[in-house]
Amino acid sequence: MANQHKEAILYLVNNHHKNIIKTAYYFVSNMQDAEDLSQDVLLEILRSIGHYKKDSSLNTWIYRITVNKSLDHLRKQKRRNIFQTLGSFFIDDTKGKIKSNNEPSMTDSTNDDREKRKILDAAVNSLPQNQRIAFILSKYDDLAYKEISEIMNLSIPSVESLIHRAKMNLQKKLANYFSEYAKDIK
Amino acid sequence: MQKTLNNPGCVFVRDNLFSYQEKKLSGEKNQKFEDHLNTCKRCRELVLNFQSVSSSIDARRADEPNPFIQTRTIQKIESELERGNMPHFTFSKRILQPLMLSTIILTAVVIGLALGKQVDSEFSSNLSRQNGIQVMKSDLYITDFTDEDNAFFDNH
Repeated sequence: MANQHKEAILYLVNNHHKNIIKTAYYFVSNMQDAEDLSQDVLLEILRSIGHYKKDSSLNTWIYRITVNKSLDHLRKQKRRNIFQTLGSFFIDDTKGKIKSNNEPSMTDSTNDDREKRKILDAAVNSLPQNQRIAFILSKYDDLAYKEISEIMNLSIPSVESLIHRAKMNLQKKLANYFSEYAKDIK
Repeated sequence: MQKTLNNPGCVFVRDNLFSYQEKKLSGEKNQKFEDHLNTCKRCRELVLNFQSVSSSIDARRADEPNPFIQTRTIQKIESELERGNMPHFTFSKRILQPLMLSTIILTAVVIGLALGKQVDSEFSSNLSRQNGIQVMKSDLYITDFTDEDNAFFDNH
């Protein structure tokens, strides 16, 4: 293998790998899947480094690839789940069970934590795609509006608006969830 | 149950959950928010639940990947590049697999149609034979047939 490839791999892994995994994890909610995805992202970067335009920073470009790969993964997962659900109608019920990929792989998470994460994940995943991306990059990745606007190719006011709407929607969804929950336990 | 969440105070609380948590409410609005919480049990519960759930964002941020993942990733990428199979993988995944799947489905449909046609022609030839026998029977003006007569018709 060419030495330059080796250097590029080492540079990417040492400087960007952890961020890639974490961003992917915020989207897919499963550390194992995020780690696998990060390898795909790195391969994609190495494969398409020739197409990298220097009008955006390398970091922005890497974020963009990571977000796209994560969304692709979620779409595939959704398709797989639909097929598994359909399959469960025709095949043995016990075999047709869908593995919940929203379960975090952390072993020290209590059931309560897991439940909270599930509630929040469900609410975040039900947001429109652009609101979800902006919200995750802002609240989980802690990126500035300017960085998010570069990653999403949007203006800063558009990003602000997306995050504001995402918060409004989440508040509404969570408030509805808890009022339903309160009704159920009364 | 209290009739809440639809009165203006409850709506104000519901619409400002994030701002309150992020301490972004102005002094006046913050006071209004807290005044309402003092009088509404359901909104107090809602705020506690909301804070508890949104704290899982911080919990998720604290999760760390496997410490050995970097070594494993370097090995995997190196072996992928050494095999040089990335373009083939893409070709196989994007073109070859769908092509093979379409061919299999098409073959299955053609076989299904051919079998259906064969069964159909056997069925119609049997039907026409039965009709012929019925015509012969009616031509002979005979209504009662013995088993021997029926065997004769069946054999001819």
